[in-house]
Amino acid sequence: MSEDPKDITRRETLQTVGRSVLLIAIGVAGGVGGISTLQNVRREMKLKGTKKEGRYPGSPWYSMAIDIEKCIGCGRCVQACSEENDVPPGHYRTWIERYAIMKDGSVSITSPNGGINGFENDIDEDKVERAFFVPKLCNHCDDSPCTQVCPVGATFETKEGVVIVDYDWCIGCRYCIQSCPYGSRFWNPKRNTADKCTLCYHRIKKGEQPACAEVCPTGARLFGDLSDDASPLAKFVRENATMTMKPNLMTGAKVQYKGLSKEVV
Amino acid sequence: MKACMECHPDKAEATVHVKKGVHCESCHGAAKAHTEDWEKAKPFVPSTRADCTRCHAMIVSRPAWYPQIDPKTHNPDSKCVHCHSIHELPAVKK
Amino acid sequence: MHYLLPFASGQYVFPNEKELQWSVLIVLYPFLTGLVAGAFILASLVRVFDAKPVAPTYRLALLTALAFLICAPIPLVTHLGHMERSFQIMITPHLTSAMAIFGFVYLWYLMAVLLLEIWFDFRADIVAKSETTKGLLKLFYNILTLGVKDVSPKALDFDDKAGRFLTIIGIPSAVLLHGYVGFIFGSLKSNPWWSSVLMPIIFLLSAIVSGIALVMLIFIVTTKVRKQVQNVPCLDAIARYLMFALIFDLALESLDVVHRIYEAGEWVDIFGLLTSGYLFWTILGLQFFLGGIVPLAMIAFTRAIWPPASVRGAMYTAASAFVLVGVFAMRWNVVIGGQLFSKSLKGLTTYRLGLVEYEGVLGVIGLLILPIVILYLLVKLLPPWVQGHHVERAEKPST
Ligand code: HEC
Ligand code: HEC
Ligand code: HEC
Ligand code: HEC
Repeated sequence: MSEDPKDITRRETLQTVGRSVLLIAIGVAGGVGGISTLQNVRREMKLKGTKKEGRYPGSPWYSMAIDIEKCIGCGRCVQACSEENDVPPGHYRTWIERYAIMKDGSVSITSPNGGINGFENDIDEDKVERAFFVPKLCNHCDDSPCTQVCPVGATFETKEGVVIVDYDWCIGCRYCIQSCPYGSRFWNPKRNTADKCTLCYHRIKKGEQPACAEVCPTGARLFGDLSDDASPLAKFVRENATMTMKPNLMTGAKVQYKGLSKEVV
Repeated sequence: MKACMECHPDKAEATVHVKKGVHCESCHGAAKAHTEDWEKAKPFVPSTRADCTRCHAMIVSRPAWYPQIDPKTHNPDSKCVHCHSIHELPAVKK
Repeated sequence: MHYLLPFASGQYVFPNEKELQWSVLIVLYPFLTGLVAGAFILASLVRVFDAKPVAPTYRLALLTALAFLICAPIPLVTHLGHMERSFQIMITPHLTSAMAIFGFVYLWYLMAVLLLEIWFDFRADIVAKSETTKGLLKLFYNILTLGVKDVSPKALDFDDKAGRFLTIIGIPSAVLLHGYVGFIFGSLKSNPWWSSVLMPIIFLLSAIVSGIALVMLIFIVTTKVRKQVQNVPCLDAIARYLMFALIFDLALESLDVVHRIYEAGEWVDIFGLLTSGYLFWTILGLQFFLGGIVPLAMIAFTRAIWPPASVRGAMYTAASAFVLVGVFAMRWNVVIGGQLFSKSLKGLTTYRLGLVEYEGVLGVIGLLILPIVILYLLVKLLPPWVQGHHVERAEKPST
């Protein structure tokens, strides 16, 4: 079979078209990928700054220590947080759990309205073996699952070690809420974005305490700079046996608990 | 706390709560507006028993070192401030 | 015996976890992409593995994949809190996030694989249409040809090769498209219900199962609607593939269950509570029994007894419908089930499925009908009933 020259040119045209369509597709995909990676890197650099050498990636390196023995479950912290940060009702940046370990071995865990109105003495004292309160908040993990999964990098760790959400960049996919093993994140129906504890970033930047630590009547919440050896927090962590929540998950949780018992979830 | 000291040094001195580090706003509620314009915004002044029992009622899960009273038996007929002075010492009025 | 009796005196749900984050719309998303991936893999059986008996469904499978792929992101995007920001996922993708590459995987699959493959496969038909139609339709087909009107044997040969090549790229892409959806769930260490390396593979297999069932069902229904005789030998062949896929799928899903029960991690109590309560019927009843064992038994039985063609057709119809229900239930069990327990692993929440609302039954029905409507339009524009030239030529004895 002899080839018609016209046929050959046509075939070539067709091949060229086919190849160029493929090339363009690959090119566009590559280009978009490249540009966006660059943008992302720039964005992250801008947000994080350059990390310093040392025990902690940054200085100051903010965190909080919780002394479970001191918490009286008055709920002032929850209330102050919700007023300070305009937290929508039914959602909690911080909350208090009450544990009652009964003599029969069962454990009752309660947190009515996150403990915002305190607790009632509604457990039969004779049946209780041990009972205590545990204040909870975002652990500001250093390898936080939530920042890892955010598809647009809207949630990130600042150079001071505080994990916050950029409400103007969050697309509201809620993946971060799913990824938090502590239930610290929630959906903010006012903003239509994910929301969480910021360690009162707006206050600590001014040298103030987070609202919850400020109002705590017994000093059960100790806020401070871990990287400063002289700070009360660093001293507290140095001198006491402390524990983080769910350390097996390797989240790099920063919030330290003193007196954490095995029943705590 | 510091913010209140400027104008209320008398209240801040020598009281059980303030000495133990209980913040003014823990009892008086958020008072930022008041610090900015004290004439217009007045903070909440606690007066009922419930305002105190929130922190002092006996609850099993409260730590043992912490001073607690059973509101049903601890002088149930009068307000706490009748016998306890908040901003003066001693904490229990004579 | 657990020394902590976790639920003896009530459950505990973290206060922020009383409400579910991902509604039934997010159940639809893996269901839809699964259908796409499965339909495509069925099509690729014809193209790459030369499964001739299934050839009549090749083009229908491609169009089905396209119709469902167009709809797949709709539930996802409309579920965002800020839909208007969805483009950010393309301009600032956060590279450690599994979800970030969604846009790229999706576009790659749509543009580089599916559309191209359909174009190469239907090109000769498009050229023919552009010559026989008039007016706007003519213009439309003319645009679709992208200016390439050569239908010489050489050109068709190239189409065939390109199509083959695209299918070869397409298989890993389809696997990526859906395995990736499984990874979105499987990679969350916070959630023991999801966190599993098997998740992407199970997602993939159930995708293949559902895609094959969907194409088979659509093939049966469209043949009926067009008042044609059912091509039962073709159905026999598809059903055979469906059976194998089902066996693998069921085996893996059972392995997952057995492994979890045997391993009995910290979550064992809460999972027991979940699977014996809220999810009992959707897991055991729908996913395993109605969507797994029943269709498997039906196909196996049909193949063993080999009843008359009409009975076989009816069996296959029912089996594929059951499979679709079962796979939908599986997506439900994964997506909703994974959110029904608190991360405290000490308590359950509930999910109420609304009826007349977008994020409820009505919306789901709408989003399931939409791809069918799109498929109807696609079929009108590019009738898939005539087999592609590559099949015809492959069937011609070589000289
Ligand atoms: C700018 C000075 C200023 C600051 C700062 C300030 N106050 Fe006052 N506050 C006053 C004055 C003056 C009065 C007396 C008003 C009156 O007698 O009507 C007052 C009255 C009060 C009262 C009594 C209100 C009542 O209804 O009788 C309370 C309680 C109070 N302040 C609490 C606080 C607290 C708590 C803070 C810190 C957050 C604070 N104040 C900070 C000036 C100040
Ligand atoms: C333990 C709770 C508590 C704390 C902490 C507290 N107060 Fe008070 N405060 C009260 C109560 C109760 C009264 C009402 C006293 C009374 O009626 O005798 C009062 C009264 C006052 C008054 C006078 C109001 C009036 O009508 O006479 C001022 C001013 C005031 N507090 C300021 C402060 C400041 C400033 C601080 C922080 C340094 C502070 N309080 C901390 C409970 C508290
Ligand atoms: C925000 C929580 C809070 C509120 C509200 C509160 N207190 Fe206190 N109270 C404390 C703390 C903390 C201490 C110090 C306990 C300690 O360290 O020994 C204390 C100590 C006391 C003491 C001293 C007990 C002792 O052992 O000497 C008395 C009396 C007292 N409070 C009475 C009151 C009265 C009356 C009220 C109501 C106006 C009140 N408290 C409201 C937290 C509170
Ligand atoms: C009739 C006067 C009176 C009233 C009313 C009163 N108390 Fe007391 N309270 C006392 C006296 C007296 C003491 C010290 C003797 C003692 O420890 O029982 C005391 C002790 C306390 C203590 C210290 C307990 C401890 O273990 O160290 C607290 C806390 C306290 N009261 C809180 C309150 C609260 C809160 C109220 C309001 C609900 C209240 N009181 C009402 C007279 C009163």
